[in-house]
Amino acid sequence: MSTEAQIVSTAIPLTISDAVAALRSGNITAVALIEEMIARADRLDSTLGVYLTRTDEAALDAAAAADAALATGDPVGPLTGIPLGIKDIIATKDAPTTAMSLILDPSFGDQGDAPVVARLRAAGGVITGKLTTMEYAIGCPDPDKPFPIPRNPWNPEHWTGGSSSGTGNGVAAGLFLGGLGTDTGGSVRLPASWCGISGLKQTFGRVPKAGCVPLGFSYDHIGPMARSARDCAIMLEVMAGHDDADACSVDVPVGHYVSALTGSVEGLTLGVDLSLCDLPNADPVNTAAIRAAIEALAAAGAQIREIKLPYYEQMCTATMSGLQAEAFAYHRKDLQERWSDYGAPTRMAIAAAAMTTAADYVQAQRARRTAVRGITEVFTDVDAILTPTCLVAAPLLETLNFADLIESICTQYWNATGNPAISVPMGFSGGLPLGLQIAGRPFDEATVLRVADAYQTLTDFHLAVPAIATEGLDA
Amino acid sequence: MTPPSSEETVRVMLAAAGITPTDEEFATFVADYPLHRSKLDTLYTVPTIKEEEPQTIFSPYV
Repeated sequence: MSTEAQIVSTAIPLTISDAVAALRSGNITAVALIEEMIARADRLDSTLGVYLTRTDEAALDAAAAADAALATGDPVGPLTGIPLGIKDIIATKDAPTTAMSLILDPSFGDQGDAPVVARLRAAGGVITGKLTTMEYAIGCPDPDKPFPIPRNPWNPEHWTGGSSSGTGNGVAAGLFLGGLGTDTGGSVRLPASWCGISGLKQTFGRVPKAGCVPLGFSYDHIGPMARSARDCAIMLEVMAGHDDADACSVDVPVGHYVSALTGSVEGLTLGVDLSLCDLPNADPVNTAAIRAAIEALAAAGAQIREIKLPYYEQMCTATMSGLQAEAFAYHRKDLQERWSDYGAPTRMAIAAAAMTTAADYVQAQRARRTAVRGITEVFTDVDAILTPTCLVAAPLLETLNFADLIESICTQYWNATGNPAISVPMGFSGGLPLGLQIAGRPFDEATVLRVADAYQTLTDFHLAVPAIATEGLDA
Repeated sequence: MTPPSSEETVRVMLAAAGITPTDEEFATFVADYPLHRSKLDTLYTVPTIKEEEPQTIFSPYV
């Protein structure tokens, strides 16, 4: 046994739900769990590019407090002792917030914890640090800037997806058990898909986004990322709820997402739109994987109905052009004065909105309302809708191109309409994970999570661990 | 009247926005512009009712 193997045990729970049980039964302590996470970060972070800032000491202190709370036998929060990472565009009180950019005013971080981070801490969550992103949550990695390049734990020559890159590869490699990403056009679901974990973009307005550096004001979401849909449900119950600090926050009751996980799809009708798989850049292995997922859910009792997502292409455009226009309004002055301080992929993606007119932007917002009406009609006949999350597995870093990336993802539609959508692992292509996207009615995260959880009772793709996370360890 | 070329359009719109990319980046914007414009034009093919309001947020309260 190597020294490293003595330090880094594989007997650590893979999921939040298992870790909660282990902590409460006394099979593990929160301090031991955090020490393990720190050891993994020491071993893997320089390869994978997960962290921008680690808060090891604060995490150990919080873990000790969690152990003390657990020892009393009194009721504790649902995330007590659970290690969680935070994407570095979300403010936290104990670490700087950079948006992985040379541009962001450091005073942004002076506001303390964003409401959603405060909720995680209040529930007992232990924050392990701030995670890599794309600069301001848009673009691609830029090796010319002084930030880590996020790498896919299934093959570090490939990208993680973005922009919640560090949350995706960190959960997949076991550096923490869950974390926060943000999703404006797919930035939770894309890295979830490509890193082989689960990631939820809940209904727009369900989780307050105050304290988060904006990208597209009318498209942004802060969402949970973890191994399983059950873990996402545990996190969402903590994260959800109205907050006046976010003008887009919606004051509707928070659901009981965990208790809604019946493990069954009996009685549900699932719409499927496989027309996306006919696009020329679709990987046939990906298409076969989603067909297999549909068959598995049908065999488990779901009724399957073919549907067509109304105005699909236009809504993808409404999301991309709309978020770019909103981002351009935020960044215009800095782009004028500090063009070269931005990474090239980010400045190009945002400044493209200079070629979008005011009427185009307003028309995108009008078309969104029409599409919402259309998709609402579709949801009168189905309880959830299945599509691939992406058309391909994670691309090589060296061939990465933002325009090609946008053409290969199937996530933007749900940012235009605001419906909840989750990505869960559904197989592999060339050794790289693939994602199944499940969307639902507004504020019906319970059904989305129920379908995802039921799928994960039928499959174990979400429990697969990349070899890099276990190399050199005892089995 | 001859419609402006992509290069003319991009040059004017970037100048109006005060954006000064590198020559290589300018060429990329010019090359991308026809597809960018055609995608935006599809937004007007969505059969919105004439009086459809945009999905924007406004409140007379702060």
